[in-house]
Amino acid sequence: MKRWQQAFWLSKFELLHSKKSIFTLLFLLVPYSFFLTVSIPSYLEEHFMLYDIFFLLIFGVAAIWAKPKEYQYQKIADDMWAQPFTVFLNQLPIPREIVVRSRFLIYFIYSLPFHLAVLVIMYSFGPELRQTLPPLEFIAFSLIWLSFGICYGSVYPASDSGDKVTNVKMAFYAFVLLGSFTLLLFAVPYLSSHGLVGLTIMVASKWPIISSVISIIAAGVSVTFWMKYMKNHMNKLDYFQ
Amino acid sequence: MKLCTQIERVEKTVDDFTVGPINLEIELGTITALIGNNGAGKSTLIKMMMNLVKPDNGQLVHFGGSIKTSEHWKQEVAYQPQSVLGCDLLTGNQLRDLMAPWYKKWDQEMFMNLVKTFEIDLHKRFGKMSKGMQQKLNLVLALSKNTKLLILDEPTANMDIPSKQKLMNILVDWMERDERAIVIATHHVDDIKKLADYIVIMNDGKLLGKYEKEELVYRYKRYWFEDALGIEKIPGEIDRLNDRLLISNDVEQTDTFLKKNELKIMQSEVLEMEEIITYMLSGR
Repeated sequence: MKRWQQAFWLSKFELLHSKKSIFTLLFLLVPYSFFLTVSIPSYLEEHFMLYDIFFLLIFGVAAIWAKPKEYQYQKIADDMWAQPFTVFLNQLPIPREIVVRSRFLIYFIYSLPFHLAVLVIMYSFGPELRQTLPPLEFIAFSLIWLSFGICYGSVYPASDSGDKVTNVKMAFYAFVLLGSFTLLLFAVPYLSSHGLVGLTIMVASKWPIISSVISIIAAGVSVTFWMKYMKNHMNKLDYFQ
Repeated sequence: MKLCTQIERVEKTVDDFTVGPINLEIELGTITALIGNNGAGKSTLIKMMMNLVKPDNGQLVHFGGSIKTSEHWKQEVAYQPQSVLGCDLLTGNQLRDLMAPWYKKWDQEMFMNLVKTFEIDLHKRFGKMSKGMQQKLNLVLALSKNTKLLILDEPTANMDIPSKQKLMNILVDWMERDERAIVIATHHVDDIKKLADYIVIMNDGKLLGKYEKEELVYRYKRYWFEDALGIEKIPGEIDRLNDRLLISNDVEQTDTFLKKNELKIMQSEVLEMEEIITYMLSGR
Protein backbone atom coordinates (compact mmCIF):
# COMPACT_ATOMS: atom_id res chain seq x y z
CA MET A 1 0.00 0.00 0.00
CA LYS A 2 2.87 2.33 0.87
CA ARG A 3 4.23 1.94 -2.68
CA TRP A 4 0.85 2.93 -4.17
CA GLN A 5 0.76 5.96 -1.84
CA GLN A 6 4.26 6.95 -2.94
CA ALA A 7 3.26 6.42 -6.58
CA PHE A 8 0.22 8.65 -6.09
CA TRP A 9 2.38 11.32 -4.44
CA LEU A 10 4.72 11.17 -7.43
CA SER A 11 1.92 11.32 -9.97
CA LYS A 12 0.67 14.57 -8.40
CA PHE A 13 3.66 16.43 -9.89
CA GLU A 14 2.35 15.66 -13.37
CA LEU A 15 -1.32 15.96 -12.49
CA LEU A 16 -0.67 19.49 -11.15
CA HIS A 17 -0.22 20.55 -14.76
CA SER A 18 -3.06 18.45 -16.09
CA LYS A 19 -6.01 20.47 -14.75
CA LYS A 20 -6.59 22.07 -18.15
CA SER A 21 -6.49 18.65 -19.82
CA ILE A 22 -8.99 17.20 -17.36
CA PHE A 23 -11.31 20.18 -18.03
CA THR A 24 -10.89 19.54 -21.77
CA LEU A 25 -11.97 15.94 -21.20
CA LEU A 26 -15.00 17.10 -19.22
CA PHE A 27 -15.85 19.49 -22.06
CA LEU A 28 -15.56 16.64 -24.60
CA LEU A 29 -17.70 14.45 -22.40
CA VAL A 30 -20.82 16.46 -23.33
CA PRO A 31 -20.79 15.95 -27.13
CA TYR A 32 -19.46 12.38 -26.86
CA SER A 33 -22.14 11.31 -24.38
CA PHE A 34 -24.81 13.21 -26.31
CA PHE A 35 -23.97 11.35 -29.53
CA LEU A 36 -23.87 7.95 -27.82
CA THR A 37 -27.14 8.55 -25.92
CA VAL A 38 -29.10 10.00 -28.84
CA SER A 39 -27.91 7.34 -31.31
CA ILE A 40 -28.51 4.28 -29.13
CA PRO A 41 -32.15 3.67 -30.28
CA SER A 42 -31.20 3.59 -33.97
CA TYR A 43 -28.03 1.59 -33.16
CA LEU A 44 -30.05 -1.06 -31.33
CA GLU A 45 -32.20 -1.37 -34.46
CA GLU A 46 -29.56 -1.13 -37.21
CA HIS A 47 -26.13 -1.73 -35.59
CA PHE A 48 -24.42 0.96 -37.69
CA MET A 49 -20.62 0.75 -37.61
CA LEU A 50 -19.93 4.43 -36.87
CA TYR A 51 -21.34 3.90 -33.39
CA ASP A 52 -18.90 1.02 -32.78
CA ILE A 53 -16.01 3.11 -34.07
CA PHE A 54 -16.97 5.96 -31.78
CA PHE A 55 -17.18 3.63 -28.80
CA LEU A 56 -13.75 2.19 -29.56
CA LEU A 57 -12.27 5.68 -29.88
CA ILE A 58 -13.76 6.87 -26.60
CA PHE A 59 -12.67 3.83 -24.60
CA GLY A 60 -9.41 3.35 -26.51
CA VAL A 61 -7.77 6.69 -27.19
CA ALA A 62 -9.87 9.73 -26.18
CA ALA A 63 -8.49 10.04 -22.64
CA ILE A 64 -4.86 10.09 -23.75
CA TRP A 65 -5.37 12.81 -26.40
CA ALA A 66 -6.09 15.44 -23.81
CA LYS A 67 -2.74 15.17 -21.97
CA PRO A 68 -0.48 18.26 -22.07
CA LYS A 69 2.01 17.92 -24.92
CA GLU A 70 4.95 18.08 -22.49
CA TYR A 71 3.70 14.86 -20.88
CA GLN A 72 2.85 12.96 -24.04
CA TYR A 73 4.81 10.16 -25.62
CA GLN A 74 7.20 11.89 -28.01
CA LYS A 75 10.42 11.69 -29.96
CA ILE A 76 13.24 12.54 -27.56
CA ALA A 77 16.24 11.66 -29.76
CA ASP A 78 17.01 10.17 -33.18
CA ASP A 79 14.83 7.06 -33.15
CA MET A 80 14.04 7.10 -29.42
CA TRP A 81 10.45 7.78 -28.33
CA ALA A 82 9.43 8.08 -24.69
CA GLN A 83 7.50 10.15 -22.16
CA PRO A 84 10.17 12.67 -21.06
CA PHE A 85 9.04 12.97 -17.43
CA THR A 86 9.41 9.19 -17.02
CA VAL A 87 12.95 9.42 -18.40
CA PHE A 88 13.67 12.21 -15.91
CA LEU A 89 12.32 10.20 -12.96
CA ASN A 90 14.45 7.24 -14.02
CA GLN A 91 17.58 9.25 -13.10
CA LEU A 92 16.48 9.70 -9.49
CA PRO A 93 16.76 7.13 -6.69
CA ILE A 94 13.06 6.38 -6.94
CA PRO A 95 12.41 2.62 -7.02
CA ARG A 96 11.33 1.64 -10.55
CA GLU A 97 8.28 -0.05 -9.09
CA ILE A 98 7.03 3.34 -7.87
CA VAL A 99 7.77 5.12 -11.16
CA VAL A 100 5.88 2.37 -13.02
CA ARG A 101 2.89 2.49 -10.68
CA SER A 102 2.72 6.29 -10.93
CA ARG A 103 2.50 6.06 -14.73
CA PHE A 104 -0.45 3.68 -14.51
CA LEU A 105 -2.16 5.79 -11.84
CA ILE A 106 -1.94 8.88 -14.05
CA TYR A 107 -3.51 7.02 -16.96
CA PHE A 108 -6.32 5.68 -14.77
CA ILE A 109 -6.96 9.11 -13.24
CA TYR A 110 -7.41 10.45 -16.78
CA SER A 111 -9.39 7.59 -18.25
CA LEU A 112 -11.53 5.84 -15.62
CA PRO A 113 -13.64 8.81 -14.44
CA PHE A 114 -14.11 9.83 -18.09
CA HIS A 115 -15.19 6.35 -19.19
CA LEU A 116 -17.40 5.93 -16.14
CA ALA A 117 -19.07 9.31 -16.74
CA VAL A 118 -19.80 8.40 -20.39
CA LEU A 119 -21.49 5.16 -19.29
CA VAL A 120 -23.47 6.79 -16.47
CA ILE A 121 -24.72 9.60 -18.74
CA MET A 122 -25.72 7.08 -21.41
CA TYR A 123 -27.70 5.08 -18.90
CA SER A 124 -29.25 8.06 -17.10
CA PHE A 125 -30.40 9.86 -20.23
CA GLY A 126 -31.06 6.87 -22.53
CA PRO A 127 -34.41 5.18 -21.72
CA GLU A 128 -33.88 2.65 -24.52
CA LEU A 129 -30.64 1.47 -22.94
CA ARG A 130 -32.36 1.19 -19.55
CA GLN A 131 -35.10 -0.91 -21.16
CA THR A 132 -32.54 -3.17 -22.84
CA LEU A 133 -30.24 -3.52 -19.83
CA PRO A 134 -31.56 -3.76 -16.26
CA PRO A 135 -29.16 -2.41 -13.59
CA LEU A 136 -27.19 -5.64 -13.01
CA GLU A 137 -26.76 -6.21 -16.74
CA PHE A 138 -25.76 -2.59 -17.21
CA ILE A 139 -23.06 -3.00 -14.55
CA ALA A 140 -21.78 -6.03 -16.49
CA PHE A 141 -21.84 -4.00 -19.75
CA SER A 142 -19.96 -1.16 -18.04
CA LEU A 143 -17.37 -3.54 -16.62
CA ILE A 144 -16.77 -5.01 -20.10
CA TRP A 145 -16.02 -1.58 -21.54
CA LEU A 146 -14.10 -0.28 -18.52
CA SER A 147 -12.03 -3.44 -18.74
CA PHE A 148 -11.45 -2.81 -22.45
CA GLY A 149 -10.27 0.70 -21.55
CA ILE A 150 -7.88 -0.74 -18.96
CA CYS A 151 -6.62 -3.67 -21.08
CA TYR A 152 -6.05 -1.62 -24.22
CA GLY A 153 -5.12 1.60 -22.39
CA SER A 154 -2.40 -0.04 -20.26
CA VAL A 155 -0.24 0.02 -23.37
CA TYR A 156 0.01 3.83 -23.01
CA PRO A 157 1.64 4.02 -19.55
CA ALA A 158 3.74 0.95 -20.37
CA SER A 159 5.12 2.69 -23.45
CA ASP A 160 6.04 5.83 -21.42
CA SER A 161 9.31 4.12 -20.51
CA GLY A 162 10.37 4.53 -24.14
CA ASP A 163 11.33 2.52 -27.14
CA LYS A 164 13.46 2.65 -30.24
CA VAL A 165 10.93 3.34 -32.95
CA THR A 166 12.03 3.30 -36.56
CA ASN A 167 9.70 4.33 -39.41
CA VAL A 168 9.27 0.67 -40.33
CA LYS A 169 8.38 -0.25 -36.75
CA MET A 170 5.95 2.69 -36.54
CA ALA A 171 4.26 1.66 -39.81
CA PHE A 172 4.04 -1.93 -38.55
CA TYR A 173 2.40 -0.85 -35.26
CA ALA A 174 -0.08 1.39 -37.12
CA PHE A 175 -0.88 -1.46 -39.52
CA VAL A 176 -1.44 -3.97 -36.68
CA LEU A 177 -3.56 -1.50 -34.69
CA LEU A 178 -5.75 -0.33 -37.56
CA GLY A 179 -5.90 -3.85 -38.99
CA SER A 180 -7.07 -5.41 -35.73
CA PHE A 181 -9.68 -2.68 -35.16
CA THR A 182 -10.95 -3.05 -38.73
CA LEU A 183 -11.05 -6.82 -38.44
CA LEU A 184 -12.96 -6.53 -35.16
CA LEU A 185 -15.44 -4.05 -36.64
CA PHE A 186 -16.16 -6.26 -39.68
CA ALA A 187 -15.78 -9.73 -38.17
CA VAL A 188 -18.14 -9.23 -35.22
CA PRO A 189 -21.24 -8.26 -37.30
CA TYR A 190 -20.39 -10.96 -39.87
CA LEU A 191 -20.11 -13.72 -37.27
CA SER A 192 -22.73 -12.67 -34.73
CA SER A 193 -25.23 -10.43 -36.57
CA HIS A 194 -24.49 -7.81 -33.85
CA GLY A 195 -22.36 -4.72 -33.90
CA LEU A 196 -19.40 -4.63 -31.48
CA VAL A 197 -21.32 -2.65 -28.85
CA GLY A 198 -24.45 -4.72 -29.60
CA LEU A 199 -22.48 -7.91 -28.96
CA THR A 200 -21.31 -6.65 -25.55
CA ILE A 201 -24.93 -5.68 -24.72
CA MET A 202 -26.01 -9.21 -25.63
CA VAL A 203 -23.17 -10.82 -23.59
CA ALA A 204 -23.91 -8.60 -20.57
CA SER A 205 -27.63 -9.45 -20.79
CA LYS A 206 -27.16 -13.19 -21.09
CA TRP A 207 -24.19 -13.75 -18.76
CA PRO A 208 -23.89 -10.71 -16.48
CA ILE A 209 -21.98 -12.43 -13.69
CA ILE A 210 -19.57 -14.40 -15.88
CA SER A 211 -18.86 -11.45 -18.15
CA SER A 212 -18.25 -9.19 -15.12
CA VAL A 213 -15.85 -11.65 -13.53
CA ILE A 214 -13.96 -12.23 -16.80
CA SER A 215 -13.74 -8.45 -17.38
CA ILE A 216 -12.33 -7.82 -13.90
CA ILE A 217 -9.81 -10.67 -14.23
CA ALA A 218 -8.77 -9.52 -17.72
CA ALA A 219 -8.20 -5.96 -16.44
CA GLY A 220 -6.14 -7.23 -13.48
CA VAL A 221 -4.03 -9.57 -15.61
CA SER A 222 -3.43 -6.85 -18.20
CA VAL A 223 -2.32 -4.23 -15.65
CA THR A 224 -0.04 -6.74 -13.89
CA PHE A 225 1.48 -7.85 -17.20
CA TRP A 226 2.12 -4.34 -18.53
CA MET A 227 3.54 -3.07 -15.23
CA LYS A 228 5.99 -5.96 -15.16
CA TYR A 229 6.80 -5.42 -18.83
CA MET A 230 7.50 -1.71 -18.24
CA LYS A 231 9.77 -2.38 -15.25
CA ASN A 232 11.83 -4.96 -17.16
CA HIS A 233 11.90 -2.78 -20.27
CA MET A 234 13.29 0.21 -18.32
CA ASN A 235 16.06 -2.04 -17.08
CA LYS A 236 17.09 -2.96 -20.62
CA LEU A 237 16.63 0.28 -22.52
CA ASP A 238 19.43 2.74 -23.34
CA TYR A 239 18.64 6.37 -22.52
CA PHE A 240 21.20 8.38 -24.49
CA GLN A 241 19.39 11.74 -24.00
CA MET B 1 42.29 6.01 -0.71
CA LYS B 2 38.87 4.37 -0.82
CA LEU B 3 37.37 3.52 -4.17
CA CYS B 4 33.95 4.81 -5.00
CA THR B 5 33.68 3.53 -8.57
CA GLN B 6 35.22 0.65 -10.49
CA ILE B 7 34.75 0.34 -14.22
CA GLU B 8 35.99 -2.98 -15.55
CA ARG B 9 36.24 -3.81 -19.27
CA VAL B 10 33.09 -1.84 -19.97
CA GLU B 11 32.12 -1.74 -23.62
CA LYS B 12 29.18 -0.39 -25.60
CA THR B 13 28.58 -0.44 -29.34
CA VAL B 14 26.01 1.86 -30.90
CA ASP B 15 25.59 1.55 -34.66
CA ASP B 16 29.20 1.50 -35.87
CA PHE B 17 30.74 3.33 -32.89
CA THR B 18 32.23 1.46 -29.94
CA VAL B 19 33.03 2.97 -26.56
CA GLY B 20 35.56 0.92 -24.66
CA PRO B 21 36.71 -1.47 -23.43
CA ILE B 22 37.21 0.90 -20.52
CA ASN B 23 38.95 0.23 -17.23
CA LEU B 24 38.85 3.04 -14.72
CA GLU B 25 38.81 3.55 -10.98
CA ILE B 26 37.57 6.64 -9.18
CA GLU B 27 38.80 7.28 -5.67
CA LEU B 28 37.07 9.23 -2.96
CA GLY B 29 38.73 12.57 -2.26
CA THR B 30 39.58 13.20 -5.91
CA ILE B 31 38.25 15.23 -8.81
CA THR B 32 38.58 13.53 -12.17
CA ALA B 33 38.21 15.49 -15.39
CA LEU B 34 36.99 13.50 -18.35
CA ILE B 35 38.17 15.11 -21.54
CA GLY B 36 38.03 14.36 -25.24
CA ASN B 37 36.82 15.70 -28.54
CA ASN B 38 33.12 15.89 -29.35
CA GLY B 39 31.86 12.37 -29.94
CA ALA B 40 34.76 10.77 -28.05
CA GLY B 41 32.31 8.81 -25.89
CA LYS B 42 32.47 10.84 -22.65
CA SER B 43 28.72 11.25 -22.28
CA THR B 44 28.11 7.60 -23.15
CA LEU B 45 30.59 6.57 -20.45
CA ILE B 46 28.87 8.87 -17.94
CA LYS B 47 25.46 7.49 -18.89
CA MET B 48 26.79 3.98 -18.40
CA MET B 49 27.99 5.08 -14.95
CA MET B 50 24.39 6.13 -14.26
CA ASN B 51 22.96 2.90 -15.71
CA LEU B 52 21.03 4.96 -18.25
CA VAL B 53 22.94 3.24 -21.04
CA LYS B 54 23.53 -0.47 -20.48
CA PRO B 55 27.01 -1.79 -21.32
CA ASP B 56 27.27 -4.73 -23.72
CA ASN B 57 30.20 -6.11 -21.71
CA GLY B 58 32.06 -5.47 -18.48
CA GLN B 59 30.87 -4.33 -15.12
CA LEU B 60 30.33 -1.10 -13.26
CA VAL B 61 30.47 -0.91 -9.50
CA HIS B 62 29.57 2.02 -7.27
CA PHE B 63 30.45 1.75 -3.57
CA GLY B 64 30.96 -1.99 -3.77
CA GLY B 65 27.67 -2.85 -5.47
CA SER B 66 27.06 -3.63 -9.12
CA ILE B 67 24.77 -1.04 -10.69
CA LYS B 68 23.02 -3.78 -12.65
CA THR B 69 21.68 -5.62 -9.66
CA SER B 70 20.65 -2.88 -7.26
CA GLU B 71 19.37 0.69 -7.18
CA HIS B 72 20.83 1.61 -3.75
CA TRP B 73 23.88 3.28 -5.27
CA LYS B 74 21.61 6.03 -6.64
CA GLN B 75 21.41 7.41 -3.08
CA GLU B 76 25.15 8.15 -3.26
CA VAL B 77 25.48 9.37 -6.84
CA ALA B 78 24.22 12.73 -8.09
CA TYR B 79 24.24 13.39 -11.79
CA GLN B 80 23.91 16.58 -13.76
CA PRO B 81 23.27 15.82 -17.44
CA GLN B 82 24.00 18.23 -20.28
CA SER B 83 20.30 18.74 -20.87
CA VAL B 84 17.35 17.81 -18.74
CA LEU B 85 14.19 16.35 -20.24
CA GLY B 86 10.67 16.24 -18.91
CA CYS B 87 10.56 18.91 -16.24
CA ASP B 88 9.80 22.03 -18.28
CA LEU B 89 6.49 22.60 -16.51
CA LEU B 90 7.91 22.24 -13.00
CA THR B 91 9.15 25.24 -11.02
CA GLY B 92 12.40 25.23 -9.06
CA ASN B 93 10.41 24.73 -5.86
CA GLN B 94 8.51 21.79 -7.34
CA LEU B 95 11.73 20.18 -8.54
CA ARG B 96 13.16 20.53 -5.04
CA ASP B 97 9.95 19.06 -3.54
CA LEU B 98 10.10 16.19 -6.02
CA MET B 99 13.78 15.33 -5.44
CA ALA B 100 14.49 16.05 -1.77
CA PRO B 101 12.47 13.21 -0.18
CA TRP B 102 14.32 10.57 -2.20
CA TYR B 103 17.76 11.60 -0.88
CA LYS B 104 18.32 10.70 2.76
CA LYS B 105 21.10 13.28 3.17
CA TRP B 106 19.43 16.13 1.27
CA ASP B 107 20.95 19.43 2.50
CA GLN B 108 18.20 22.03 2.53
CA GLU B 109 20.45 24.70 4.04
CA MET B 110 22.97 24.25 1.25
CA PHE B 111 20.15 24.34 -1.30
CA MET B 112 18.86 27.69 -0.04
CA ASN B 113 22.38 29.17 0.17
CA LEU B 114 23.22 28.11 -3.37
CA VAL B 115 19.89 29.40 -4.69
CA LYS B 116 20.78 32.75 -3.13
CA THR B 117 24.34 32.64 -4.50
CA PHE B 118 23.17 31.97 -8.06
CA GLU B 119 20.08 34.22 -7.73
CA ILE B 120 17.69 31.51 -8.94
CA ASP B 121 13.98 32.27 -9.06
CA LEU B 122 12.41 29.12 -7.62
CA HIS B 123 8.91 30.20 -8.65
CA LYS B 124 9.80 30.17 -12.33
CA ARG B 125 9.07 27.16 -14.49
CA PHE B 126 12.16 25.25 -15.58
CA GLY B 127 11.19 25.54 -19.26
CA LYS B 128 10.93 29.34 -18.97
CA MET B 129 14.44 29.71 -17.55
CA SER B 130 17.45 30.56 -19.72
CA LYS B 131 19.87 27.71 -20.52
CA GLY B 132 22.39 29.15 -18.06
CA MET B 133 19.81 29.44 -15.29
CA GLN B 134 18.60 25.87 -15.95
CA GLN B 135 22.18 24.70 -15.62
CA LYS B 136 22.62 26.59 -12.35
CA LEU B 137 19.41 25.11 -10.92
CA ASN B 138 20.48 21.62 -11.97
CA LEU B 139 23.82 22.09 -10.27
CA VAL B 140 22.22 23.38 -7.09
CA LEU B 141 19.87 20.39 -7.05
CA ALA B 142 22.74 17.98 -7.72
CA LEU B 143 24.97 19.46 -4.99
CA SER B 144 22.16 19.54 -2.41
CA LYS B 145 21.64 15.80 -2.81
CA ASN B 146 24.72 15.59 -0.61
CA THR B 147 25.97 12.38 -2.23
CA LYS B 148 29.44 10.89 -2.13
CA LEU B 149 29.89 10.97 -5.90
CA LEU B 150 28.94 13.87 -8.14
CA ILE B 151 28.94 13.36 -11.92
CA LEU B 152 28.81 16.53 -13.98
CA ASP B 153 28.45 16.54 -17.75
CA GLU B 154 29.64 19.90 -19.13
CA PRO B 155 28.48 21.84 -16.05
CA THR B 156 29.73 25.25 -17.17
CA ALA B 157 28.81 25.11 -20.87
CA ASN B 158 26.11 27.82 -20.72
CA MET B 159 27.28 29.72 -17.66
CA ASP B 160 28.35 33.34 -17.43
CA ILE B 161 31.90 34.07 -16.22
CA PRO B 162 31.06 35.16 -12.64
CA SER B 163 28.90 32.07 -12.14
CA LYS B 164 31.69 29.82 -13.41
CA GLN B 165 34.00 31.36 -10.83
CA LYS B 166 31.43 30.87 -8.08
CA LEU B 167 30.93 27.27 -9.14
CA MET B 168 34.66 26.49 -8.91
CA ASN B 169 34.74 27.75 -5.33
CA ILE B 170 31.54 25.90 -4.45
CA LEU B 171 32.88 22.62 -5.83
CA VAL B 172 36.15 22.99 -3.92
CA ASP B 173 34.18 23.75 -0.76
CA TRP B 174 31.82 20.82 -1.43
CA MET B 175 34.78 18.45 -1.71
CA GLU B 176 36.22 19.60 1.60
CA ARG B 177 33.06 18.88 3.57
CA ASP B 178 33.30 15.09 3.40
CA GLU B 179 35.07 12.21 1.70
CA ARG B 180 33.67 12.68 -1.77
CA ALA B 181 34.52 12.46 -5.45
CA ILE B 182 33.63 14.41 -8.56
CA VAL B 183 33.77 13.24 -12.16
CA ILE B 184 33.46 16.15 -14.53
CA ALA B 185 33.24 15.94 -18.32
CA THR B 186 34.39 19.23 -19.74
CA HIS B 187 35.91 21.08 -22.68
CA HIS B 188 36.93 24.04 -20.53
CA VAL B 189 40.59 24.21 -19.62
CA ASP B 190 39.85 26.47 -16.65
CA ASP B 191 37.70 23.76 -15.09
CA ILE B 192 40.54 21.29 -15.46
CA LYS B 193 43.26 23.66 -14.27
CA LYS B 194 41.41 24.76 -11.17
CA LEU B 195 39.63 21.58 -10.17
CA ALA B 196 41.11 18.37 -11.49
CA ASP B 197 43.40 16.03 -9.61
CA TYR B 198 43.27 13.47 -12.39
CA ILE B 199 42.71 13.81 -16.11
CA VAL B 200 41.14 10.99 -18.07
CA ILE B 201 41.55 11.33 -21.80
CA MET B 202 39.16 9.73 -24.26
CA ASN B 203 39.50 9.60 -28.01
CA ASP B 204 37.28 7.84 -30.52
CA GLY B 205 35.62 5.76 -27.81
CA LYS B 206 38.88 4.61 -26.27
CA LEU B 207 40.34 5.64 -22.94
CA LEU B 208 43.86 6.85 -23.69
CA GLY B 209 44.88 7.07 -20.06
CA LYS B 210 44.38 8.48 -16.59
CA TYR B 211 47.02 11.00 -15.54
CA GLU B 212 47.75 13.00 -12.46
CA LYS B 213 47.41 16.63 -13.48
CA GLU B 214 50.70 17.73 -11.97
CA GLU B 215 52.55 14.82 -13.56
CA LEU B 216 51.11 15.76 -16.92
CA VAL B 217 52.20 19.40 -16.61
CA TYR B 218 55.83 18.39 -16.08
CA ARG B 219 55.81 15.71 -18.75
CA TYR B 220 55.59 18.17 -21.64
CA LYS B 221 58.16 20.89 -22.39
CA ARG B 222 58.95 23.39 -25.12
CA TYR B 223 62.62 24.13 -26.04
CA TRP B 224 64.13 26.96 -28.09
CA PHE B 225 67.62 26.39 -29.56
CA GLU B 226 70.28 28.86 -30.54
CA ASP B 227 71.13 26.93 -33.69
CA ALA B 228 69.12 24.78 -36.04
CA LEU B 229 69.00 21.25 -34.67
CA GLY B 230 69.89 19.45 -37.86
CA ILE B 231 69.09 16.11 -36.25
CA GLU B 232 66.36 13.90 -37.59
CA LYS B 233 64.61 12.80 -34.40
CA ILE B 234 65.19 13.58 -30.72
CA PRO B 235 63.89 11.20 -28.02
CA GLY B 236 60.56 12.45 -26.67
CA GLU B 237 60.05 14.81 -29.60
CA ILE B 238 56.43 15.23 -30.68
CA ASP B 239 56.60 18.47 -32.63
CA ARG B 240 59.20 20.74 -34.22
CA LEU B 241 59.06 24.21 -35.78
CA ASN B 242 61.75 25.77 -38.01
CA ASP B 243 64.24 23.29 -36.60
CA ARG B 244 64.76 25.63 -33.62
CA LEU B 245 61.66 24.97 -31.56
CA LEU B 246 60.94 21.53 -30.19
CA ILE B 247 58.13 20.07 -28.10
CA SER B 248 58.77 16.97 -26.01
CA ASN B 249 56.42 14.69 -24.09
CA ASP B 250 59.29 12.98 -22.30
CA VAL B 251 61.36 15.68 -20.64
CA GLU B 252 63.79 13.31 -18.96
CA GLN B 253 64.77 11.51 -22.16
CA THR B 254 64.96 14.76 -24.14
CA ASP B 255 67.10 16.53 -21.51
CA THR B 256 69.51 13.58 -21.35
CA PHE B 257 69.85 13.52 -25.13
CA LEU B 258 70.37 17.29 -25.39
CA LYS B 259 73.02 17.25 -22.67
CA LYS B 260 74.81 14.30 -24.19
CA ASN B 261 74.90 15.93 -27.62
CA GLU B 262 75.76 19.37 -26.19
CA LEU B 263 72.87 21.09 -27.94
CA LYS B 264 72.49 24.61 -26.58
CA ILE B 265 69.06 25.48 -25.25
CA MET B 266 68.18 29.15 -25.43
CA GLN B 267 65.03 28.81 -23.36
CA SER B 268 62.60 26.17 -22.18
CA GLU B 269 59.16 26.20 -20.58
CA VAL B 270 56.34 23.88 -19.61
CA LEU B 271 53.31 23.81 -21.89
CA GLU B 272 49.90 25.28 -21.15
CA MET B 273 47.30 22.69 -20.19
CA GLU B 274 45.35 23.45 -23.37
CA GLU B 275 48.38 22.63 -25.52
CA ILE B 276 49.06 19.43 -23.58
CA ILE B 277 45.50 18.27 -24.08
CA THR B 278 45.58 19.15 -27.77
CA TYR B 279 48.74 17.07 -28.22
CA MET B 280 47.32 14.19 -26.21
CA LEU B 281 44.08 14.16 -28.16
CA SER B 282 46.03 14.03 -31.39
CA GLY B 283 47.83 10.96 -30.06
CA ARG B 284 51.13 12.67 -29.21
